[in-house]
Amino acid sequence: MTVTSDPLVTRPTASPTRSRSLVIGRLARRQEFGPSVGLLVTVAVFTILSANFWSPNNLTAITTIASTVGIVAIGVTMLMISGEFDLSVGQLYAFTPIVWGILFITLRINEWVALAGALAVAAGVGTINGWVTTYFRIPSFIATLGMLFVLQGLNNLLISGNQLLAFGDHPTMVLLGSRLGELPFYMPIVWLGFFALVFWFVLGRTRYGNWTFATGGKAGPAKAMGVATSRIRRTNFIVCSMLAGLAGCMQFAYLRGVTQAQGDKYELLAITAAVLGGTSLFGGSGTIVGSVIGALLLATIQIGLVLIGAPGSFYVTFIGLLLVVVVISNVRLGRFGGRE
Amino acid sequence: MRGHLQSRHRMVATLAAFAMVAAACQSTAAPSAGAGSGETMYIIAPSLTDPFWITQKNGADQAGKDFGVKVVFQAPAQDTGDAGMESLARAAVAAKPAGIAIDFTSKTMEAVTKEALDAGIKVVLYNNNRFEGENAPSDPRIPGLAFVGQNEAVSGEILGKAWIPNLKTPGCKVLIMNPFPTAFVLTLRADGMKRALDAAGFTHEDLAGSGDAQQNLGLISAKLQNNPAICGIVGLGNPAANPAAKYVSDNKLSLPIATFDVGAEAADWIDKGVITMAINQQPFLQSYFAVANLANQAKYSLQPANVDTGTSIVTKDNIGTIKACVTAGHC
Repeated sequence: MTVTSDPLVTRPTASPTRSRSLVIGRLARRQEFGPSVGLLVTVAVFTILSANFWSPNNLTAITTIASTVGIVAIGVTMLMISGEFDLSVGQLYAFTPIVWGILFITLRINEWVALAGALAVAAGVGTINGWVTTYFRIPSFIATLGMLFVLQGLNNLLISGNQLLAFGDHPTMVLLGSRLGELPFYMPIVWLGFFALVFWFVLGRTRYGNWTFATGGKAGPAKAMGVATSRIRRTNFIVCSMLAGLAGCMQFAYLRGVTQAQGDKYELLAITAAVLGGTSLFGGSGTIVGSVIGALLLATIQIGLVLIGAPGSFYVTFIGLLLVVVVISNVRLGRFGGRE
Repeated sequence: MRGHLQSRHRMVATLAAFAMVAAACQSTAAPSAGAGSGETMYIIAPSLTDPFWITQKNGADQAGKDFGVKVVFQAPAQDTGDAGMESLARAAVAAKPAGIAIDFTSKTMEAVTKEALDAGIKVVLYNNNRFEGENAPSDPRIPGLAFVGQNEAVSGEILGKAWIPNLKTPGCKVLIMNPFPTAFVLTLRADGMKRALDAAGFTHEDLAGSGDAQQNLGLISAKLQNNPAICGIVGLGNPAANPAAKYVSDNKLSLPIATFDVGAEAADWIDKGVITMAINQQPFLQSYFAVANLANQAKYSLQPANVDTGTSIVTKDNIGTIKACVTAGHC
């Protein structure tokens, strides 16, 4: 025991054991704790089951999938926190690089200008999604489902089952998709880290982040307090679309080829990554780091199953079961916390 | 207190889910169905939801039994073309198997093929070996790899030349339906068919469909009602040809139909004379001989051989011998 300045009062000092318990308790209360533990357990399981889990090729396979899914998931997370969904991100993942490829390969426009143009088109799609949802007040599920079909048709019109290849010397492709020296990692993982940092900061350290949570959590009171909820949602639609389009361009840069098949069902993968990472389906809650961990988890499970020789269809079964378990957990926690 | 319980609840749910995953992983670490003991061979495919690829898997599994090797047939959950196959192929390379069969659909598969060769893994190509134009590989080893399959760049032309004599009206219009517009191998088929039609003086019109037969039936119905001058239908795959056959049969039309590949339903329509002919690339044999090549190379150091699984034309005259094979999932 320690004697304080007041001789009549003694206060016990915190023992080392109690300090550690406090730290662990604080960690456990973070939204990212569960998915982090899940990822560690999954990595441990596959490390035990396969001696090649940490091989360069395996790391490349996991990180390239996780990067692009993760970048899409970051945008989807921002939107989900503000209370909306975007089902068109999967088609946009193909549409944006197709536009980019047509501009600089077929029409021979400067590749940097073409990239900016393609991303501007992606932003335009996000603008339309946001405007249709907020102006006409229809569920974003429906508005973006409609956009999914529109983009699917456009992808078919633009590319008609063909493939665009770009194996030449293209600085934009080096920036978006090249290998990092002799490491088994490629530029998309760097971009994932960059966007994770940026949006972690925006969400957690800026007024815009607060407004995003408020818009998705309790839109009515937020609006009453002066938060421009419609503008927040429209902005997040644009962010979501641009990140999906950019991720698609990164895959094009990595593989040096694009077809309209790429990104098929990515909207579901990105939402799954966000939910596995702790983002609420009901809005108002979620973390960028959690979504990135969710993307890593999906990629690790998919590639790990291939590594140990499991049938390919096991992956979707696992992910489906896992998703339901996590959502049940979140819903029950929401009820426990008094949320409708 | 409430926050502490929330976090415990969340962690318990997560750990329960992962215990389930871990238990399932343990149970699936054994070789896949149809495998023997010994060396492991990976077959990387674009899809497991198309009957064509299920037949491929059947061939691979049978070869595993016959040659006493473990066969791991992998495909992405969705058919995302090269993008889906590339990462699975990388994982296969990381698993250090004795051999990998790769569907070389374009130059995007070159990097991972090269990785496999650099790692000393035996590689054969199957179903596709697209080296034309900008797909030409930079690595000189790749064009020399053994290939098992059919040349899709000419399959359309071969089928077209055989089928065109069935078109009754010279110079009439043929409808070409693509059930998978995202699959560029079907574009190759269409291009070959169009070359044959152009050379014979016929016109053609494209119709994009989907993998859903009901939807395709509606599209075909609308197209034929809108354009009664159409004198023949080409389905670039069975999901297009089967609904076309149903429409022609239900409406008692006299329209020749041609298709690629012979599934169970298409075999029935050929037997009835509604589908005039099909070109059969024998998917079972493609995977079978791919595994056979890899097994012989691993066990006996034999050099893999190119196998042309054939551009066999199937009509009502020879469908009898094919039907039993199709029913067994071997064709």
